[in-house]
Amino acid sequence: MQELCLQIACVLDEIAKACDLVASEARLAGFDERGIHHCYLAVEEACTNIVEHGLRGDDHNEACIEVCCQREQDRLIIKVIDTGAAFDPLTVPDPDPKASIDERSEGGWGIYFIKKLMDEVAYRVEGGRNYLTMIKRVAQPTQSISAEPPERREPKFAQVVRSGGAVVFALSGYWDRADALALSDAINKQLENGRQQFVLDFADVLGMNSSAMKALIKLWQHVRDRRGQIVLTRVPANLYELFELSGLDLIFHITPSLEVAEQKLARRPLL
Amino acid sequence: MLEIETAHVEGIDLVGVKGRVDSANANELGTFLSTEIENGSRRVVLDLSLLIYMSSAGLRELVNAYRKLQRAGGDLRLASPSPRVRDVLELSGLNTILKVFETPAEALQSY
Repeated sequence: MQELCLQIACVLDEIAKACDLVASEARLAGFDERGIHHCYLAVEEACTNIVEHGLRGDDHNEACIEVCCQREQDRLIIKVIDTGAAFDPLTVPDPDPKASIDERSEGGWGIYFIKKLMDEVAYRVEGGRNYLTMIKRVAQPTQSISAEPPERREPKFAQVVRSGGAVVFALSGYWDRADALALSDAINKQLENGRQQFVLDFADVLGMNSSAMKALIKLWQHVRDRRGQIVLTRVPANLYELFELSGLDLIFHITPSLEVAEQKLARRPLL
Repeated sequence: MLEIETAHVEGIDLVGVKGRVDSANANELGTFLSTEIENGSRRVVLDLSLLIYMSSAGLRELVNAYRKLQRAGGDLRLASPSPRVRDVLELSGLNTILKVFETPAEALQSY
């Protein structure tokens, strides 16, 4: 597998981009929700430490962190590389989770989480760069998600019928094809109940892979064939970029808020 | 991606934390709680049912708020953490320091 890398500036607001990349790679590597979350969290903690503690020149906006992922058969290798002053985070003593509130250590929790969540953690300095390598093993080696049959799982959405008649689905977590199919089933049931207007609220969606997006397009076609309407709302910026790349923004109306979504549905005449 | 709402229920501050708390926005939670405490809040329940993620930065703010409340004779209690948030509470040992309840109602009743 090829290594995928992303460079970000040394600012806290950029860290989520690197975490998203790692999370989607973790998803493809076959990790379950918990494993993906651990990878996301480990990268956030590592990058946060660099931004908050790494010593460097004044220009924090230069790209100074690079996060790389490599998927192997049974593990994900994550490298966090930065150009700050050499500092080995592994030399920080572990804080004690059993310490009382008064004795509790202020810092060291980020690297402590990394050590607990990842199977292997290593640090080295090379060519003026710090390399923090984190490896997490997949519990069971699996094929990529798109090759798996859709499984039954807890639905990652809640649905509410609004007073205007639209059904709002609040989506959350990392979405793959199985989640999109579960949503399609739920929308089908509502279509059979006579509902025709649907809002998908993406505010709590952490990520979505390409097979989920393809399933969403199929869902749109199905709803349209049944004379229904779907509007998306509150799509996070990072996901919006992915939607633009795959053309979903040309298919779906995407609105910034639930109110605008409902207004849009109310204005458009049913076919 | 962070929304904070409060309700006052019989002298207890029920604070709903919705969305995600990470290193980029944890100070918002910290500032909110500090302000509440400065304004007199003593018995606080954090409703975490709509919180999908928290990293060590968020935990640090919880500890800070807890310390302030304790010193003022009050308390900070947590309600309905999601599985992911529960993971970090357990990793950090905060689940043994702060009282954690399954539902906001139980947390409110505990006072």
